[in-house]
Amino acid sequence: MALDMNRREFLKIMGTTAATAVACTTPRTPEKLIPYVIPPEDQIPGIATWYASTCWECPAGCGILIKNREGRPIKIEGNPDHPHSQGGVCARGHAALFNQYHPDRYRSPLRRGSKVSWEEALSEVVEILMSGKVAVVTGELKGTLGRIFDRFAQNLGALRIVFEPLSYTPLIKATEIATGRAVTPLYHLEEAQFILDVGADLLETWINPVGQQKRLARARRPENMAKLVVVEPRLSLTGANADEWIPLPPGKESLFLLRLLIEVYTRGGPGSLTPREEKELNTWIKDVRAGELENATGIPGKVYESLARDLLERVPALVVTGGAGYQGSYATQFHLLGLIINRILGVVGKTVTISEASTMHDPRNNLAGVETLFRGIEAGKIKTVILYKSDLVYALPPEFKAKENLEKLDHLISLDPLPNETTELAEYILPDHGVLESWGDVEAYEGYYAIRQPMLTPLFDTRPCGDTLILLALKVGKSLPWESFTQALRERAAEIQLLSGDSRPFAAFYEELLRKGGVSYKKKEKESPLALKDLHRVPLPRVADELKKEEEVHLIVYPHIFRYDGRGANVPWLQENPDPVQQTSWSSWVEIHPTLAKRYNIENGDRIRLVSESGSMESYALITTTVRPDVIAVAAGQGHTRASGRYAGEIEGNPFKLLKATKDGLTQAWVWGGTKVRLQKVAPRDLELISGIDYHLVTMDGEKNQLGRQIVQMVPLFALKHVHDKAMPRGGKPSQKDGEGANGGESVKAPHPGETILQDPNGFYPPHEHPEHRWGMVIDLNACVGCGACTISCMVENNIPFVGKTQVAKGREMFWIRIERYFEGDEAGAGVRFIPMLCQQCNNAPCETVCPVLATMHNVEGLNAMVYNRCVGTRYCANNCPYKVRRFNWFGYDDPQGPYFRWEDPLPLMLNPDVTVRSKGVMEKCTFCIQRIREVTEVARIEGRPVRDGEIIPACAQSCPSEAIVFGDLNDPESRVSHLARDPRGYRVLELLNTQPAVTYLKKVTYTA
Amino acid sequence: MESDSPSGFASYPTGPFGARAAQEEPFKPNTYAKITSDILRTLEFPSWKFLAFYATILVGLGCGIAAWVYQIKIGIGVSGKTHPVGWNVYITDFVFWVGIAHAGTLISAILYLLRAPFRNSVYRASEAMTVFAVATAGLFPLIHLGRVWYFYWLIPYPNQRQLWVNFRSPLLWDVFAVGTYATISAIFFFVGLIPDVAAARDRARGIFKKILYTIFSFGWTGSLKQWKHYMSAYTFFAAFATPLVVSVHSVVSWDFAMGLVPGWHTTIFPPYFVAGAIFSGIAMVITLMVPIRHYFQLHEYITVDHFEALGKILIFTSSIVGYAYAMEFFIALYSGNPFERDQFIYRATGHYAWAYWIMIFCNVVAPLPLWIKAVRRNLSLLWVISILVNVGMWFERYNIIVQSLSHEFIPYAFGFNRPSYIEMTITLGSFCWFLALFFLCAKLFPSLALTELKEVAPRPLRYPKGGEA
Repeated sequence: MALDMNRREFLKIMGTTAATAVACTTPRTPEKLIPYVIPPEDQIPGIATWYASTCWECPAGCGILIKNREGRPIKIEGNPDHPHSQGGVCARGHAALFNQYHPDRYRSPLRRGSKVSWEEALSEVVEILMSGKVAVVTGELKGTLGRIFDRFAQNLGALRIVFEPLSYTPLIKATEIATGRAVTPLYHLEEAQFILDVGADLLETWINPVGQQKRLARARRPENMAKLVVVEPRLSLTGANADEWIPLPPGKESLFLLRLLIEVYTRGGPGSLTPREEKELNTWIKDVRAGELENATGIPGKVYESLARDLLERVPALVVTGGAGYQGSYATQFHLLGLIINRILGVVGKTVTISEASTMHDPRNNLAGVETLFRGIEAGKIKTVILYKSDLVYALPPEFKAKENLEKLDHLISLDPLPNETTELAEYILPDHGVLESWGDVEAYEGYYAIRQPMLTPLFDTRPCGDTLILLALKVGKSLPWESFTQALRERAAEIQLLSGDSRPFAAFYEELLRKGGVSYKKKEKESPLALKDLHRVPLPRVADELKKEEEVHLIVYPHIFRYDGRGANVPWLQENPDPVQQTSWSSWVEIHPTLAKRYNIENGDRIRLVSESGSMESYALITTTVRPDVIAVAAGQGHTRASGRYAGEIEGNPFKLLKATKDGLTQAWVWGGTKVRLQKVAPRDLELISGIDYHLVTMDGEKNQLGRQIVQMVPLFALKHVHDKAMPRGGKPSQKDGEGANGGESVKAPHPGETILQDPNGFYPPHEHPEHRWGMVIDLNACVGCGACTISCMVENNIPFVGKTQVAKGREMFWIRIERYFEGDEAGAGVRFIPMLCQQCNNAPCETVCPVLATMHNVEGLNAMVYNRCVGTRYCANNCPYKVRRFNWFGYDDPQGPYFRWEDPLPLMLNPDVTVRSKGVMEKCTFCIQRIREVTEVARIEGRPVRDGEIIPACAQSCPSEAIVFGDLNDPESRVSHLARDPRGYRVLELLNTQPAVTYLKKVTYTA
Repeated sequence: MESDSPSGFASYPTGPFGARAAQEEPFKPNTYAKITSDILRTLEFPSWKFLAFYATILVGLGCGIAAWVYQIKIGIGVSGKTHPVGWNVYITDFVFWVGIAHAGTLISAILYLLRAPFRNSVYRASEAMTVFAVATAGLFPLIHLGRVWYFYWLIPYPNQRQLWVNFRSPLLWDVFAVGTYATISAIFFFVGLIPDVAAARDRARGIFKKILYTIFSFGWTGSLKQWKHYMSAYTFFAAFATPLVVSVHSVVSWDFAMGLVPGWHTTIFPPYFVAGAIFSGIAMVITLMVPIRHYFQLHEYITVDHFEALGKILIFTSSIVGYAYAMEFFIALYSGNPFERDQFIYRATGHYAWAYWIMIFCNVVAPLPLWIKAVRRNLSLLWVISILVNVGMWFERYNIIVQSLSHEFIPYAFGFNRPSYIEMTITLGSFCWFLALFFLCAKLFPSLALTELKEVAPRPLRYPKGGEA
């Protein structure tokens, strides 16, 4: 066709087109598009800044480092400088980030649910406070904020109540009886050779789980592996990692320890105590009959004998007592007995310290306070309650009728930043800043002062609750001695500087405090004397909690590793991450032993009702051998209403509504033990008609057993020495014969991944070459306890969407790293195995060859790179992956218009800008945090130096409290990862497929064969 | 070849699958003219019954399209696929339809080369079936893509993105194998149509039909020279298509055999798939031809003898398939590979055991009565068996794909899935799509080959009046 157009016509058409185009695309005026004229000193676009702070998700107060990009915190990692957490973060710690950006957060002050201005709200609250009859109810707050609350209550003449469902008061009381100091002891597990843990969920919630996990991992290094014996009625994660699991009937912990005390005392006692102490002890236990205790606990004498032998022979040993779920009405005695045994063993000051103790818990946390409060409300003495971080309605046992009582109040004022079932009743909400927006401090350990600092300007119209209190007190006319919260904080910091003897100017001290996140301020004192005295004042534990009726069983409610006492329930990461032992996700479940289930004709997944004297609860049966047959166990933390948030509100089953208000005899603290329930089957398992999927009880494990497939491999301790001796020359060069290919059984074994790779010389394709780096990983299965922190760390780092219960039920969870759990044999006990499974970055990757569009390729550094925007979504790679670690975006989780959008406002602010947010229909997977590898290699290149070993730390390895994951360059024969990969314990999963993974696992070491 | 016997089919040649005498059905002698008019009668304007039937098909097709649009909009997650079962009904449908596509070329090309004249009456329909089955099968790799809007990335052509495809991936081999097969079978189909379309052209009345037939008859005049070239070209394409019968399904089977999934990674797959494809294709021919024969009143052209011959192929391929099932199981147990062993025990006893036993029943047990001649000649029974075989062969693919994926190496990652409503709707839509094309074709083009029917018409009757066709 001839172009019949002259110049003028052309210009006319061009002009019209351009005008139309401009007219059709009316630009929206940007509201704020002002670049940094003077850029903030510490903000370089594209470069992360890190701030030290302290985790506040549970009382343990672990040190954290917060990664900031362009003024937004995007990732929480462990602070290696913290003396206790030492660089580890648990799953709950990671979730703080979610709480900061939680879409459920209060965004402004509210009066009966509707928005008001701060001025209005404050002036109205001041009027309310003027009329008096106030109570201040909070959770356990230690540090400056706690002091402000105390002082506020004191100035206003208000009742000050501390309540949290988990109470450490009995332990504090026991320590006080034994040593005169009201603290919780610290357990130095790493020093111990033998650890007897009675009930304490050391790896989940007890005291400081991250620190304890770290210490336990050290204690259990195979060179000198401590033996761990766990005594508890229900297999906890700690029990799952034990060498021996003794299922003790519930409510018998103190009797068990009493019997053990006799054994230890008679065998090793003489000489370890002073004559006065001996006399004291002898008088105390003179009426105790060993046989009676054996009958009561159902544990034969020879078990006590062997335990006592171990305790006395494996020096130093340690007895740990605890577990909020297992404490009964003799809780104080129980902990005291543990301390006494430790005293007899002579390990106080070695494996358990009182001088270096934890001060994170408030001994005022007991039920007596709550009773006072409710009596006051009943009597009209309390008209107004100020509430902060204490979810009374959710957590209190039904006999308190918390909701009805609080509704009787004239005014309920909440300072919480996030909604819960109690704040739903509140008349006024004066929201606190988000967790990463506010200043604060945490005094969780003696001699260590930790600070929290804000990371971003507040997202919403909120105020720090310390400032709110100071202002309220001022307006009421009973001003506090501070002008602002930060002033109070600085004052405390100045006091700490005095204590630490630091002579620098305060500014310098404070700056260092902020930089490091905390400061040690006291030299280690001499160990507080643990002397046995006044024992006669402590009543001996008696046989209690017998099942009286045939149909009754013991109920165990335990704090959950992710949901804790319920505060983690509204974080979808923590809901989706499967329970380490039971592998349930987004579910409420009741653990029932098969024998018990058979008696009630209950099958797995059946809907059941539990009825106790106090109330009832419906949930789903999970048939498992991890509980005793006379026990059913329920994790705390589920069963919120919609008031607690969009994520928590859909899952029923709040076990607190079954519990009696059982109190510890000596401290009035709430103990969760001692409730008995009856079981009723409500409905059979509800499977969807077409799909056959159970959407109620969702579990992630396809199979509970390894089927002999050697996924997790073990080596008995006694054999390990032997293996070390005849260690195969794995580190050496593979013989010529090995290179010859598929002939002969020997050569099928892949050589060490860092060495020459087995390749078929006649192959059509040349072998991969890794001229500079070959990244590899070693995972020590003896260290991994299965806590699931890596999973969440990975989710946050890599912008992995959570998918929700329905999708998890369909098996569509997106975890790039998961912890697989296997049971060895039929019976639970010391037969639980965990293995983190992530992309193995195979050298002979089955996924790479099958992708028709080359969306997944082997790169020169040995990674199976995944090109998201090249993927068309055939899913062939996932089918062909023997490790099943590729995850597919079934829906547009990134699409704000789509029905499965996962980044509701303001959640997108926490996305990692270094990682693509994947779209609908593409495959995704782990690439060893390639963005971190790039960052470090580029910095190294700019600085003109090689990458240092250990400089690159993937998110999973960083967060792992057990330090089970080591990452590095396999090309460097001296790197840590290369050394470990040559360890005789090393093996690669499914090695027989010749995929040649870059991930080497180190076999788990077992005490028995 | 043909005898001059006036008893018609009594003189029918006996080939490898040829029917012997059919004395029980007296043959009504046909003239060329009668053949022409009988066959072209099928092209007349359809009855209201046909139109109603066709409208139903279109509704089903519409549902399928709507389901696909919904799936594209929301995401592939609306299908029942999960982790670890990344392939489910769509790939099952794909393999099923590719399998169906086999019978056409087998009948038209291989049997042509083998000179088995019983093919003449059924080959046109089965060739049409081939072309449309490939057209249906070709949709499924697109339907199952996560991002179907980038499907063209699978095609290697020079492009400004400077991206290329992975020739190591069996999926890419599929693109070529199925593409080649679709091209060749379409060419073969249209070449075979030329003389018949010319005959239709000469009789066509409507302007639309006139144009259509003029195009597809490619200026056919029926001259001797044209016939000479035509016959050699036809033989050439027959020879060209023959290896494809074996290659296409072998390549499709490599999608699985090249993977290392237990249950996929076996050398038996190519022959096993080809036999299964012929099995299912022949069954589909029977399923379609029985009603067509009935409704278009073609009893004279498609006789019971033809069906009996197809029945023999059915029982023969059923035996091969049955042998393959047994062998798969035996090797899995005998090889000592625990993954394979577990996989096959799982198939027979696990979560999907029902699907496995449906497959065994339909493919191995149900065809057994075909050993009896009376059953082969009973069209109702044969038709029911052919439908069962179709069901069974669909489940065979379902078992291979879904069961293997749900029970791989890592026990923790075992999983299962079942089809969702969307998948079932799209599968239904694919049947409607196939039937819509097939019956449209049956109404537009002669569904029996005029020329080849004439070839087998007994000689003395060809020109009863001494005239021409």
